[in-house]
Amino acid sequence: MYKSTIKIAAVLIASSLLYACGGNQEEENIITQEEVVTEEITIEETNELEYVFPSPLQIAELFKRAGLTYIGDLTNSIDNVDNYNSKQDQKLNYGIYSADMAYCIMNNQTQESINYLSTLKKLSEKIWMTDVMGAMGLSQRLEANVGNEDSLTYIMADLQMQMDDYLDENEMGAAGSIIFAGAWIETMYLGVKVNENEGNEKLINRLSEQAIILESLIGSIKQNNNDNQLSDLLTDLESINKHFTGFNDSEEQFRLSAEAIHNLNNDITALRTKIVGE
Amino acid sequence: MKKGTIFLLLAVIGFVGVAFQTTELCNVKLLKSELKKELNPDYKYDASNVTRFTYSSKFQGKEIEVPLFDGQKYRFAFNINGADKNFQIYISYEKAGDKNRKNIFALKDIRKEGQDIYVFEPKDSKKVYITYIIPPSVESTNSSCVAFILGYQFNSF
Repeated sequence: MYKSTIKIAAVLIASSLLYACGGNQEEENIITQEEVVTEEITIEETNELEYVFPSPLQIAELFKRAGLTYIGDLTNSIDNVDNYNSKQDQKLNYGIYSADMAYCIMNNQTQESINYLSTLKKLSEKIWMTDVMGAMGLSQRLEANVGNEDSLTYIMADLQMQMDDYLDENEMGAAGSIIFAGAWIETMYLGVKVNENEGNEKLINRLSEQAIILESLIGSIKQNNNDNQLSDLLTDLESINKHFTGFNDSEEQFRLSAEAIHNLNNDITALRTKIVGE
Repeated sequence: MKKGTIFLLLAVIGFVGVAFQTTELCNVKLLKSELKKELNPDYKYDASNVTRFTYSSKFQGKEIEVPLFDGQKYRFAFNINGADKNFQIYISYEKAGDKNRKNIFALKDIRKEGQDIYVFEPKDSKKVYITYIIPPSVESTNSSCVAFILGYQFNSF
């Protein structure tokens, strides 16, 4: 444990925290942002930073909006699920399959999505000895909403919510970071592969923006690497991070160069292959 | 003699139990289920977090890093039910300790008695830091938690 001093802002002058002027009570309680001028008080504490990551669905949505098309054979085969025997492989591939399911849902591939859901259930039982999303009737909901992309995305969001609740209730934040690492690597893999085929400027912008996530992901994995079991993964992610050099140096929007995209493609593909075991 | 020993043993167990009891006031499911309603109908669930803490005789600080994507509209909702009335939340684009840190949200000024849920929408989407200030408590064995949920505005294609 280390002792650090955190200077915490306490309010000296709140220039104005505006209450939205909506017509109903609910809207009136939503606070929109104004700059708050602060003074500092000193807090002594011994705690580490916590990390919150976006859902794989949101990243898939952003990529899709930027032009990510569907290429069927890019995702990890569900036949591989029985090959993952260590807890770490199972968690990483839970993330990989979550990202694949999000990719299928985004592209209205309902049967594929149901197949991935079954695979996730199987992995969930291996990892936690329980089917985390068992009670949700997700397969039926997916089937009932074939072709309705909007509904399918809400179902996927429910799945994520259920998983997060389970991890929070059982204080398993470390598992969440490993699962997210798998999901992030797979989504990046899908992004660079589609870009390789189609060359898409908007998609490159969204891929470049992922630097913000990778920084936090590395921080989180580092924090959970007390027993050095995540050292390999950490080294691999730090190696990927080298392609994003310059992200923090400029006020302007960071964008990966053609060379960086090419190298990122190679390294993400190699890392993803290592995880899925193809 | 035997009876006396049993009574003594029970008394010791009872004393130790009370002395080391940490009262956990954290119902993760309930805190979160109340927050989920705050996302409807315009925001879709993105992520959530439960921060647990044990009060001590000093102020404590806890911080959460939340990366946000450019151009996306986000809603933050906090449930502080069970936290001390002097519990504070700040949100900033700068980490605690950064000399340029300015808060974009401060619970301290807007807290209302009886209100446990607070909702905030930032103007810019980039990395933000949520800082919780846990006030000192004389009942230093009490544990509690607060929950946070993040939603993003869903745009159909």
